[in-house]
Amino acid sequence: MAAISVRQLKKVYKVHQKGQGLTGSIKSLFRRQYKHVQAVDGVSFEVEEGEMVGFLGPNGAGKTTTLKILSGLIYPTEGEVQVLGFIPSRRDNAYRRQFALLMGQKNQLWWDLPAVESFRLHKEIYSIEDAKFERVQGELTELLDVRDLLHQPVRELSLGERMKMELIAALLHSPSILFLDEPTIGLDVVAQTSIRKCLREYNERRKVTILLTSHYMQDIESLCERVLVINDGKLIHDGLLADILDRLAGYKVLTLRFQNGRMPEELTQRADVVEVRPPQVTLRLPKSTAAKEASRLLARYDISDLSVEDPPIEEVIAQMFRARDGMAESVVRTRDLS
Amino acid sequence: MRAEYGKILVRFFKNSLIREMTFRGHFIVNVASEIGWVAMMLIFIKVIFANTPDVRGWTESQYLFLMGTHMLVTSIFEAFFFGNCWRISELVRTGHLDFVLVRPANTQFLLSLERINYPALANVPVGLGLCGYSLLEIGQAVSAGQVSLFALLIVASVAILYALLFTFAIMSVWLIRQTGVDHLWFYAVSLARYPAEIYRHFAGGTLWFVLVFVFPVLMVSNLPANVMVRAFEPTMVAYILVVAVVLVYLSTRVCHIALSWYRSASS
Repeated sequence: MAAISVRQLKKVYKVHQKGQGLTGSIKSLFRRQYKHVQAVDGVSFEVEEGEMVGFLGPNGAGKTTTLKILSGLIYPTEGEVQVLGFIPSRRDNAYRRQFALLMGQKNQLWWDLPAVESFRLHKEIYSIEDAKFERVQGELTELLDVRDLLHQPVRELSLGERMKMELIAALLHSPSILFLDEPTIGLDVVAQTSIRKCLREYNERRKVTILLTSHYMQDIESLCERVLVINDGKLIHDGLLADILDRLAGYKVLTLRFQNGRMPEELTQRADVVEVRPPQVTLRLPKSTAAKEASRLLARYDISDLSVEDPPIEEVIAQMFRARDGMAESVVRTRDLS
Repeated sequence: MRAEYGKILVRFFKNSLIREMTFRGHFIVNVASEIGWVAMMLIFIKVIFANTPDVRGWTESQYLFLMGTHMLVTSIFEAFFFGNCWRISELVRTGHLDFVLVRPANTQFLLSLERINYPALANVPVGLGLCGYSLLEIGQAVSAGQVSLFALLIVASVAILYALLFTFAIMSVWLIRQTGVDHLWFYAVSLARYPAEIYRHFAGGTLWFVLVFVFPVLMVSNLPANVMVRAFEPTMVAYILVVAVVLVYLSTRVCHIALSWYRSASS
């Protein structure tokens, strides 16, 4: 059975519409107007035990709402959600013992206390045995290299250090499912890498299921094979990250470097030029003809170096969102096809 | 596996204490302001009884006992529950309630007791001292039964205040921005501070009726004090105990419903 199963999930928020300015505010005191916002609109997917799945989508796409429904914080308007056989909105303690929620923009540690005191509170709330608590805390502080900071008040830690502590707090009770909402937001590269490394190791060691949202493509690329792309509350891609490139990016990026810095004019004038930075020209070529065109150019010009690459994933996804109107109807679900 | 609430509570106590220690100045200022407030109240009583020998049957010594009782009730409530109730609307507005809701333990328990306000406890010995002093002045012996009933009624009083304030606070799930908790507390304390009898003779007793049966804050403090230094009224004692149980039960129901409406502010 799948660890997470979501079928036809919908969530509608009723949002109070406030008039503009003071007059509008006063008017809306007496006559409330509501707007219905469809945050999640018929999303279905399954996640197997031990999988690491990335959630991609622009702000307000419905990623966080889905995570919140999965962790039982908010109730779905429609649809079925099951995680480890539990219905999250029932908020069973047995279920709440089995997952952890980590949010990059909200902190769960006591601000004025050393992190270790918050950990000890978690120990009691999750009924973690003494020996196990010491062992797990030791392992994690080692892994994230924050042993010396355990006894420093959280408010004195840097953002990266604090996030590591947050991560430890989330993993202390050895959850089998992790919901991570923007876990590396605002962190420097070193801290990001260290958190990614910890997550990867933890996933390998414990076979923990991870569902992750992030704006950093790097997070997704280094952690998740499979991604769910969501936009306007609708799932527009469910499959391997590599497949997004295959299916959605119909082009390759060809970079040519010329001998002696002399670039043929007719080449820089082409319609498919992306960038000209002497002695280098970057072209965008249809995937089907890219190889042929590359060898033709190689034969014809005095080229010192040539590379054919996939376009950056960020770009493909951005493009996907721009084209979403046509796309949303025909959900690309490579998983089902393969 | 069940959450062990005793252990969680001990941890709340410890963490709050550690936190208090880091802000020593805060502790001292708070205790000082509490003591200053007591001094003002004592002067106020002296002023009243310089004008009249009794207030609707309450002598100065009895009134002093009422004040001591009131101080006990309010400082216990403030130490354990006021800050926590007050914080709820903030947790809702910022979405930090998320982290309370994901914990495998009773949410209302976690919300109600996470932070202990130790400086407020400074008034417990002061309240007890006032009660003891007034008993000496009255020169009346009290039985062990009276003292245990007094203790039980103090608990009931705190429970009533807790249920009212918590219910009000958890409604912020619907209202989002709701900072009225401290105002409600101010009204409750201000009204309950005086002998209940003074309200009977105002506006045909309407206000008295409301404060006993609708927003039942008047029996808080008054009833425990009555049992010790005035008359024992079994019906009223039974009434306050029932009210305490019913209100606490209702607060758990409202909490349950409110939390199912929680929308969780965006991350």
